[in-house]
Formats: sequence, C-alpha cells, structure tokens
Amino acid sequence: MKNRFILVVLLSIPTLASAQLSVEYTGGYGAYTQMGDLRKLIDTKLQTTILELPNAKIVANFPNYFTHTFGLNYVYKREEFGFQITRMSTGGKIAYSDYSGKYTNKLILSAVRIGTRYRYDYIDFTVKGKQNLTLFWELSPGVIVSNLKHSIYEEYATQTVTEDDDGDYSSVTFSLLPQIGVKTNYGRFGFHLLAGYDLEFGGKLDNGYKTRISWMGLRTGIGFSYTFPPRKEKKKEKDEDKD
Amino acid sequence: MINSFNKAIYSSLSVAMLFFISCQYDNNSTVYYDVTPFSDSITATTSFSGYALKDTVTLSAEDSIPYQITISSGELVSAVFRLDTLTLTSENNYIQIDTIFTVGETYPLTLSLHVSTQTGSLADIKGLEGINFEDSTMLYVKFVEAE
Repeated sequence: MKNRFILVVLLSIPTLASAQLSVEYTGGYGAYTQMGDLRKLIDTKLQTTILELPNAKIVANFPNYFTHTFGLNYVYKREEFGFQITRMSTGGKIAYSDYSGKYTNKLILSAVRIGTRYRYDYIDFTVKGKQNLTLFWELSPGVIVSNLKHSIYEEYATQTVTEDDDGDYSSVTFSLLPQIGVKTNYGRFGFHLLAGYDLEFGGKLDNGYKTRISWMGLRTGIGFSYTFPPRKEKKKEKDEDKD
Repeated sequence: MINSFNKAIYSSLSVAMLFFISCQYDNNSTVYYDVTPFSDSITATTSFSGYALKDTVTLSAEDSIPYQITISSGELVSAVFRLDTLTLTSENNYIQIDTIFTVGETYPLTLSLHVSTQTGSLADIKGLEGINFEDSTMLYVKFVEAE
C-alpha cells in the first residue's frame, strides 16, 4: 500500500513539471472561544492561592493572541497544495505585588498546528486596470499538539524564587481550518489577507482534571509569500544567453 | 541586484522565523496593593536563666531549661528548639529535655525563630520580613552519669 502511494506520487511529478514552489509566512490573530476548562483550572489555582494571599487576582485569563504560520506549497495553475505549521499561545496568570515583592502564578498554553493545505484561486479582480486581486479559499486539515506549563515566580528585595512544575501536560487535537482570503502578486512576491474558523475535535490533558484543550475560534491573518522560479525558466534564460 | 533581492527574502523569512519561535504568550500586568511598610526594625533577644549564650549546660537526668524570648515589636509566630536533630517541646518558657543522649557527649541546643512584622505584605506572609532564622545555636548540652 505504501509502495503504491510512493509510485503514484512519483508518476504525478511529470504532470507537475510546470508547478512552482512557494514559501509563505502569515502573522495572525486567533480568537479562542473554548477556553472554559482552562479558565476553571486557573480559578481552582486562585482558590488555593488566596488562602495564603487573600488579595491575589487573575490578571490574564486565556485571552485571544497572535499566531504565526509558515507554509510550503506547490503552486500549480490556480491550485496550491502544501504543508503549514502554526504556532499558537495563550495563558492565565494570577498576580499580587506590594512594596515587599511580586508574586506570579502562570499557566502558559502553547501549541503547534501541523497541517496540509489545499488552496484554490476562485475569482480574479482587476484593480486600477493593472493589478490583480484574487479571491481564494482554502481548506487545511491538521493536528494540534498543545502543551501546558505551570510556573510560580516570586521576587523579593533579597531573593527570587522560581518553581516550575515537573509535569508538562500535553494533548493532541484534530483540526479543520477552512479560510477565505484575497491575495495580490508583485512579481514573485505575494501578499495575502485571510480569515477563517478553526474547528476542532477531541483533546484532553492528562493532568488529573482532564482539562479540555480547544483552540476553536476565528482566525485572521496577513502575510507574504515568495514563489521560486520554475526550472523551465532557468533553461530559457540559459538558451537566451547562448543566442 | 539578485543578491540583494535574495538577502531581502532571507531577512524577511528570518524575521518571520524569529516571530514564530518567540511568540509565546506573556503578560506583564499585575495587581499592586499599597501596604504600609514596617518602619521600625525588630529585635529579638533570647536569654536563659543562669546561663549566657553558648554556655554548656550539664545534665544527668531529664530536666527543663528556663528561657525568655523578648521581641521589640511584631508578633512571635514560632520558636522551635532542637537538641541536635530532636525537636523539643517548650511550654511556659521552659524547654523540656525528656531524652537522655549519649553520656559524655555534648550536643548543640538550637533555636528556629520567626517573628512577623504583621504588615500583611507578601514578604511578611512568606516569612521573609521581620526575623526568621533556622537552627541558630543557643547553648550546648552535655550529658553526664547520674551521681
């Protein structure tokens, strides 16, 4: 079965002879709507903390945050196939400070989303008669590997105390990210703007509380890409040099 | 021209890679409480009736040693006496020595003391304000044969 798949891939390479490779980066923003379990977890930690520090408060409660995505694509006519890797992070924090020192109790949730992508250029628009804007849609199935880290930091005039939990807890979630966007090209450089909604399935931490991890929610992003020249063009250039 | 173009691409991708690596969530906000600091310094004096500090007390049987801890201000949270590694009970300003150690040997009698400033500050709650020390030698106790 595996050999058959490799054979199909190898046979399909000639049909993609005119395909081009492109790399892209998208800086974005993720709205995380399903962080309820983690909010409960930090509240549990607050209830323990206020027994000792009655004025401690939650100052960060798993807010929306920036995302960073790298993609590597095969561009073939109006289609793109590729891989993408996205970094996401958010966190919760309990804090207290006064003249004598600072106390912070942090839960930092980080994740890497690894996915494949299919993008299709749907409609072209001409702006000012010369530059094309293209409306595209894309679908990216993937997996999200999340990691939760807990740390306590105390700072006093005479000393600092750092405590890191030995256990880093992780979970794996399946994700499907449909997005639509617009892009424009300046030579081999492309710029794009896109938005979509990340749908997720499963994902619980093995931390005793069975905390559910879900990065589900709206995604927006803006980025750039660079498309490498195809091999054919290099040959043409050489032929022109000979002439 | 091509070189500078390539440099621009590599630089852009490097910056993007840096964003990717360093994008872990962080939050610098805190809540600050205006707690009134403790203005005076606290002193604690420990004395033993009939003995100066670090004197040797000779015992031949179970006994008790009278002591006095005087603090200038704040509140005494805990005072724990140990003979070598054994934690002793102390009541009504008397240290009870209910165990006879090896005859002929001398053991340190230590004190761990915590005096709170009562400011309610973070350092006070964590025991880092006021007086807080562990196992400071106060006396030596020598055990001898009963006559």
